[in-house]
Amino acid sequence: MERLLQSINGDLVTDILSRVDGSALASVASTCSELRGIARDQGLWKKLCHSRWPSTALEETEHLISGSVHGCFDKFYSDACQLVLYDEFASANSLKLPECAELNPGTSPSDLLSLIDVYSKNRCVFSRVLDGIPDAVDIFKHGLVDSSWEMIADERQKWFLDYPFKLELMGQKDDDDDELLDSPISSISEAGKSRENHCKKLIEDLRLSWILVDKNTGKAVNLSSWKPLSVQKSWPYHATLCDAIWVRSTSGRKFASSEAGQIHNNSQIQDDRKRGVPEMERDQHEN
Amino acid sequence: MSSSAENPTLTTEITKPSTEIATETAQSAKKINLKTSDDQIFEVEESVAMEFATVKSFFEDAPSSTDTVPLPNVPAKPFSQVIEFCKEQIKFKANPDETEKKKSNSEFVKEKTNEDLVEMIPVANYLEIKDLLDVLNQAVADRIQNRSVEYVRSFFGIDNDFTSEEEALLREEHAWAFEDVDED
Repeated sequence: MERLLQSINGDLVTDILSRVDGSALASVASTCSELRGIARDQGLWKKLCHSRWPSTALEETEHLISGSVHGCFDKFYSDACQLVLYDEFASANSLKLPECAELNPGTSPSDLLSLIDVYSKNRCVFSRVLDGIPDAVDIFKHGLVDSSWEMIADERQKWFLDYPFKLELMGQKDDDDDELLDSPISSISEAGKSRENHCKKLIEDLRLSWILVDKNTGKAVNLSSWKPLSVQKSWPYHATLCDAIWVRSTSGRKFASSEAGQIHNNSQIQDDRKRGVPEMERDQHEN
Repeated sequence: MSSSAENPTLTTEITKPSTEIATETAQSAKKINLKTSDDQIFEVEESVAMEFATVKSFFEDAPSSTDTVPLPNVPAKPFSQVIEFCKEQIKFKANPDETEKKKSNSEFVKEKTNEDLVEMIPVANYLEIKDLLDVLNQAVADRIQNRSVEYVRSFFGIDNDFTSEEEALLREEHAWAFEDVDED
């Protein structure tokens, strides 16, 4: 079959490509220059981003991604679908870690945007865009680092030993997003299970995707997809999910990657210094 | 399944009345001649031919026409398979059953080679058979999912026109996409 593609016009190829996932689209883009042109269609990548991370469809994110001189949806997808790995995992699996970009000490949490998507049983039930990093301390403003980017040891200890990503989700229906999450919570309650089992079930079902986007460069990094470390339920009218993502060494703890079903051990966050999220210490002690 | 492509006249297969279709309406007895780009004449039941929007509008423009309809962009081999699909589809028009229809569609694509699928796409597009185009595009998408760059190239029969430098750069840029591809 010679030059079959010539008989299929570009619109048809685009239609076919709208049905594949991001990896396949990237493969197609690497085959030849003609397909590369079609496979770079921002509409295709935008659709992929929106369906995988509904938070990217929110107005402020979309504006940032499509409006940025640096960023566009194919770049964003490529950034955000790669999970953060750490040295030990990468070397054990012969994976190449992305190189750390040059440090940019001028970056503070307020230069970042957090894209949060919460999934329950692989279905997105909650999406929000938050300015900066939730509850982050501006390490520059507070003088926690010196000029050479070394954190003052005591402060670093304080910062990392207690830095959960905590998400409170109300069981009540106060808008459409929360309504969906309400159903898994309430259905389990009605089944008469104990509160403890209920929380265990939520830990199994819930996944968090947390993507940081640099507002200045459009570069993104994905800190997902972690199981909650703990879920607490408050009585009587709302459930509080204490989605504690400990951004520090938690030796022995594992979190699952939704991408390939691999298990990563959460130890080190790569490529974060320039965004004002200090690198994690491998040897941080469990408290 | 007999391969219609090996039979140059095709009339024996196509004119054999399908009992399901023949009993539906009196009209279905009427035959229409369609001429492919490689000059083969297909005698097709009208109900099947009306599945092709392009042919249908030909008759809407010239209702009394009894001529053979030329299909200049349609080669015989993929066309015979398109007819096969449309004959199946008609059964579901009288008796809509989405589950059965899906099953029938997936069986249809399952037994087709990659080449068959890709060759049928422009035909389905030219004849404006939306259902078939949808089925084919999805089937092609499914077949290139999780595949290597080399596989996709051979699938579409395309030549690599990148320089080795360009290719190396693309490989690096897309390294994340190639980690879990299936064996070719």
